[in-house]
Amino acid sequence: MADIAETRQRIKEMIVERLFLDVSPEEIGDEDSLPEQYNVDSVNLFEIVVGLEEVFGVSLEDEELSVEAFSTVNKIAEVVQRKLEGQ
Amino acid sequence: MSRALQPLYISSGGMRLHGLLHGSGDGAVVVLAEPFAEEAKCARRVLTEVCWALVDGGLRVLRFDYRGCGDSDGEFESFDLDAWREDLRAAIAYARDTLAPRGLGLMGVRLGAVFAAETGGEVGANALVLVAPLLDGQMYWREQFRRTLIKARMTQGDQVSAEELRAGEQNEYFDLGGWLVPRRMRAQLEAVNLGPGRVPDFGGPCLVVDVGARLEPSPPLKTLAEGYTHGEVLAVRLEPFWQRIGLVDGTLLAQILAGWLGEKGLGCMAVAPR
Repeated sequence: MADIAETRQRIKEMIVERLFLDVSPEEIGDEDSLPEQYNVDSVNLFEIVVGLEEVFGVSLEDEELSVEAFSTVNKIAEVVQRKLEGQ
Repeated sequence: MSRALQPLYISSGGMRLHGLLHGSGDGAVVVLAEPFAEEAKCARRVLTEVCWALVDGGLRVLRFDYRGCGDSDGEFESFDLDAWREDLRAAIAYARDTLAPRGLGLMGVRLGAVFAAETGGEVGANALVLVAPLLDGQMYWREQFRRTLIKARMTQGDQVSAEELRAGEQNEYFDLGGWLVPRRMRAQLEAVNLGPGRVPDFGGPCLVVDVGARLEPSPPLKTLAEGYTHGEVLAVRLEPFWQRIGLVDGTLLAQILAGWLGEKGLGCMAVAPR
């Protein structure tokens, strides 16, 4: 299983690609607020969810689609690691 | 060709559909089948760019609102996909009978692409363009449900229960971001299937366009294009414009579609009308 740093990096790359952000993945801080600093709204959040499922091969339940859990890269990485460990 | 814009009305199923004719002259006409509900609203500006690019390429474009949508007669929740399929046929008949085109192209976007694919062979269109077609209706409805859930949680907080929202699916109507979707409409949406082996018969040139973050077309859309005798597929790296109001620059997509239809002879070459 990928370590948490690698997971964070892949999440950042996916976010930049899928949300068409004009920044490099490295510019996104692990604790940056995605809604406040990158204008992540409900449309973007859905894109992130679909992106995680594609990139990491995990399946997220509706109950897990919490706005809070997807508010920073660190929190998203925790969700991904938990899902990967459960597989 | 001048960028003329003419409002018009089309009769379908006893209702009056609001339409717009982009362009003038006697060239070929492309009938545009728009996406579903909120997606149509969001896609409006980019599709207008596409329409004008086609006009600049020598075509005319006929777009219209399905019954119960936009400025057409009726309430959204009173109709279903079969009514909208009938509307597309009515628009095509209007194009043929009233606009006397030198050729007919059919372009559909999202759910409209499903209608266009179903109709292209039947009406003998000269070319077919399917932009980000829905391939799997069940998956589409699941996406819509999740979008609704995320939107509710964004605005009302994470305490919004997925279970309660799911229970709402059993009601006569499901509120899809302000669009009341009756059970029958939902069942028809879920029945949409353009998967392998389900490609409607069409012998002319067909372009399948994947729109999104990918640089390469997705495998399912490649498979769809391969199902056509003269199918082509390409990816346009562009935000899904049917989810964003007014934020997406559709210039590249417009140029690509105008170029492809021109290559297929619709923009500059006379094609015998049926």
